[in-house]
Amino acid sequence: MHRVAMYSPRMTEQALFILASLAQGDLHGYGIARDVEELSDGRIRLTAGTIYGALNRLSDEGLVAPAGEQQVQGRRRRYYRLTPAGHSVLAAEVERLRSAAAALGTRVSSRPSPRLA
Amino acid sequence: MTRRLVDLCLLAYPRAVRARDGEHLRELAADLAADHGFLREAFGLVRGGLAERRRQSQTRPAVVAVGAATLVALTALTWTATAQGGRVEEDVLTCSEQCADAEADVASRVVDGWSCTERREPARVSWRCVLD
Repeated sequence: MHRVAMYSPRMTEQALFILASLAQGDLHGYGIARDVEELSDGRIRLTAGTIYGALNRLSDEGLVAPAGEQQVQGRRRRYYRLTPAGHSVLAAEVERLRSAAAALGTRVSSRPSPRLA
Repeated sequence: MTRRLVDLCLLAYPRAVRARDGEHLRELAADLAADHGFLREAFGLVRGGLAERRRQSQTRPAVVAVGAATLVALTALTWTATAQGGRVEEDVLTCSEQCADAEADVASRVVDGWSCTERREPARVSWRCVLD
């Protein structure tokens, strides 16, 4: 049984995109970087230092786990996978963002009322 | 990307992390430098290494505190066991006259597993009861 999912207020946007990237399946660092860049429409471009820093933190929190190493195109790649806890946290965070976006959207679409004197 | 320069940037990481992730970081940085440029990757490695050091220094005091508390507890237990010979409790009961109550107390303690030694003197009787 995996641990109860909890939204971590310290989760960065980069970590969130890394979790979302791993939700598609196991990936190595370079695969994560490319997928995150594509998923964010080129807005988030991760460096090696950022990726490994986030992966180490997420590993410590039990949200991702190493999934073995493979030789890919002459390079040794370490794969990572999303854990069940990571999947729950990702789902919870996406839901939180959806709610926040819906609430904020109502303010954006509504016309400002005239200020009372 | 110059390997020597990357190795220099990797020095920002704690030694244990460097030993574990160094080769992967080096190869990933080389791949990403081809996409995004070397300077960006070099800066990312240094920043990542310093962040990792900061993260470890935040967890280290907690580990040290738990270790110190465990050490103190173990030392106290060892000292107690050595000084008291493993004894849990020790009582001395004394009476000079009308010793029926004290004798009843001693008898009930013996039933409960205490080991009591009686000492009779002209003016009083005492029992040294020990629960091991």
